[in-house]
Amino acid sequence: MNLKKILFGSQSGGIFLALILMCVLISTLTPRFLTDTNLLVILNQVSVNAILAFGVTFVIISGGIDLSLGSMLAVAGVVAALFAKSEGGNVYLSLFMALTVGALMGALNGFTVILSKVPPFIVTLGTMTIARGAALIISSGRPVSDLSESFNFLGNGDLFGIPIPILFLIGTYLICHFVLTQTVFGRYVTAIGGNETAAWVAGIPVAKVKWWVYTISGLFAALGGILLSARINTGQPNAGLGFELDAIAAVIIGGTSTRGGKGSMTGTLLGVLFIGVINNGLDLLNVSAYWQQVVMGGIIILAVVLDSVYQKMKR
Amino acid sequence: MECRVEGEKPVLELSHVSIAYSGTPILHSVDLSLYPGEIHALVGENGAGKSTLMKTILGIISPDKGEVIFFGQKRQQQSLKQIMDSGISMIHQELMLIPELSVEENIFLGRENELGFWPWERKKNARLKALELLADCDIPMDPSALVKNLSIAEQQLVEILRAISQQAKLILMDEPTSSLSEKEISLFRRLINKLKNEGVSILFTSHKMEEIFGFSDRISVLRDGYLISSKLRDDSTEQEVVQQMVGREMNQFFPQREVLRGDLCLQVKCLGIPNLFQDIHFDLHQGEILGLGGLVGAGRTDIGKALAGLLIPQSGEIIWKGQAIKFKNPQDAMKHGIGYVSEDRKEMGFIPEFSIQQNISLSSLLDFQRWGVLNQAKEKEIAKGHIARLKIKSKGPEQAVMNLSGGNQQKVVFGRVLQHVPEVLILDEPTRGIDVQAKFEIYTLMAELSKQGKSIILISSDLPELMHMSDRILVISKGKQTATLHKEETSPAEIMSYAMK
Repeated sequence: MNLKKILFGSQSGGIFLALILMCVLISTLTPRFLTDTNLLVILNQVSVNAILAFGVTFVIISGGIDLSLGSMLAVAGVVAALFAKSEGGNVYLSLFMALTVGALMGALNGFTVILSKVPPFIVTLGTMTIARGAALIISSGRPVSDLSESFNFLGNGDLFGIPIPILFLIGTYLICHFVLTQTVFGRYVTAIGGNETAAWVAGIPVAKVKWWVYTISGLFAALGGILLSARINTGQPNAGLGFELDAIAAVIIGGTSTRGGKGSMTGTLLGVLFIGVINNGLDLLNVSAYWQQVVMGGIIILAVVLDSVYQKMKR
Repeated sequence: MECRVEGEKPVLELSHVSIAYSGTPILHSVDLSLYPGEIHALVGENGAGKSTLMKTILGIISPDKGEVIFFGQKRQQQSLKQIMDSGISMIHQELMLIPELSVEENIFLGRENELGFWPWERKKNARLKALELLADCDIPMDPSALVKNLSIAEQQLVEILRAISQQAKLILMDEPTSSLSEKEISLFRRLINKLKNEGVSILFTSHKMEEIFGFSDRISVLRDGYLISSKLRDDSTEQEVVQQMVGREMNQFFPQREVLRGDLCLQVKCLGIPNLFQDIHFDLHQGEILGLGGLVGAGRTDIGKALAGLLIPQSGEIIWKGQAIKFKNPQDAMKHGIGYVSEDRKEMGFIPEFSIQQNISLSSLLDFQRWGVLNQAKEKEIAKGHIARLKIKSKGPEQAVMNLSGGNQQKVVFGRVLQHVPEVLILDEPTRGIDVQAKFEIYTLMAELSKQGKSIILISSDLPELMHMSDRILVISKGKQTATLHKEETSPAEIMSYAMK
């Protein structure tokens, strides 16, 4: 794909442009931005948010929403840590258990959304609180530490000089992008978001697809939880507070319609990077953490407004 | 009929109106006049520029060249509020009502301040005025009923009432009768005549000849953005109008077809859903076209939905090639070879953002994959075949379906349904709101399908269509089957008499 096509031919053109401009702006303000190490730091920092955002992109494209991401991440992170203790722990078992728990929680979300017909916003708002409580119960409210070396490697190690979390980011992006654009499942998800009734009449197993979508979201939240626990060498029951909002913000900045039916993983990746670059830039410029939040919120709104203007201009 | 006094000034005058959308010309120097109390039919195929012309008159679009004069004043692009106050009202094909509000609230929507200051005062006056209006127009309707509980036809009447209550001098109607049954059309006709007597002018579009000739004083034909003719109704003939619309001779409205009745394939026995329909029974043979006639709201659409798995019958049985079957959902019905084209194309027919090819493959995606991975080249190839066969006018298989005209959208829906190779097709109002040319093409397709041995259940409110296309006609009235009529032995009058039984 050439540059012109990326800029004007695709949905993600606007955010791509905004990301470039933001990078140019920050690198003129500080020489410390555009260095190999700093770029790797950004990618490493955004990896957990990216993984959550990829999972929830499926949910949002299908016309739903998942607010329980951050809590599911905490549960899975604690579970992973409990099975990855330096004494008697087993990394593989830990991964298996954490991912299973994540998928089960996601499946439960899907199940409730389908059967109760209560809007997913409400359902996942409920499970957000439930899962947070579960994380505290499992861990007895205390951080789970003393984790095995091989588990910590997942968060802090590298392969061929590339940090493991970044490899996970790249891997999940490629898989999700492929699934969304090249498979029957991806097509079904988009169709349901585009017009659920028509999709049902056309013979699509709507309930089954929706169920899968929430399950995937839970699975990806769990993966995020594992990486986060590994990075900080602790299973924190309070981890991931508000992560769902960052992930959803990234998806929306990336041009995925909140009404469903339209969106891309590339857009989500760019949205994640956009948020990451701003955070990093504000850090480098020594902006206080309090002000960072204010600036961040403003920039998110601005980005979406500019993107909608840009999309109109293109027509 | 002609009530115009010589020398009377027109209400509305269009002179040399030209419009182009991003370089593509839509209207070419159109001149048109409308006189007080005139009912003016605007006809033309979909894509001829009717909607654009209406929007220009309304003031949503301003012309690139030429001008629109309404009551001596030049009309320009203006806000919706200004349009509402200006004396022109438009009734859109897609209804613009708020389903959660009542009839009276919808009628006075946006003009509540005219009803008084206090909420209770407004409520009381809305009720009074609505009752007055309903009585005046002789429409039996409860003003406090929620619009979402009304039939589409009743909703349409609410739209017209809203226009009347705005004291519009000119009402534009985009296919006002496309969803009305014969009985409701006569109610509609009364309403129109009442407006006419009060000096209100009406400009409407329609694809139905009986209405174009039944209602109007003057008929204007638009083709490819050119105004081909604007003649008094009494000076035009049906043949002539159709010819002007399509720009060539059209000898027949319906294709000839020979009836080939094959083996029995579908039996329906005592089928019923409480409050919708009861005791429906019929046989369907291969190659047969069975019509379902009756008034809108008689339960025909629900019968179609029950056969296609959209509704679950509470009693009776469906026997498919000798075996009793139950459908839990549309997917089930499809697996048994039942294809369904809904009357509600926009809501149930297609995914608007999807391309033509994505819509066509949607019901049979499992034929386009291996290990869950799509074969998009094959998808495109197959879609091209449908585009050629169904004569879908488009920029290619990758064009989004939302950007196609109604007739072409309907053809895409047919493409999707045919792609999963059904043996029985349930077609609910398959030609509603689409142009003459596309209608004819769909009839031809139906004839071709029945020749291949496919059975068709045709639900239609268009009597000529029902009579010409069906071999037998099942008439439904208030959820009950009142007659089974044979094509050769029946008449429109007989069908109507059973429909109103």
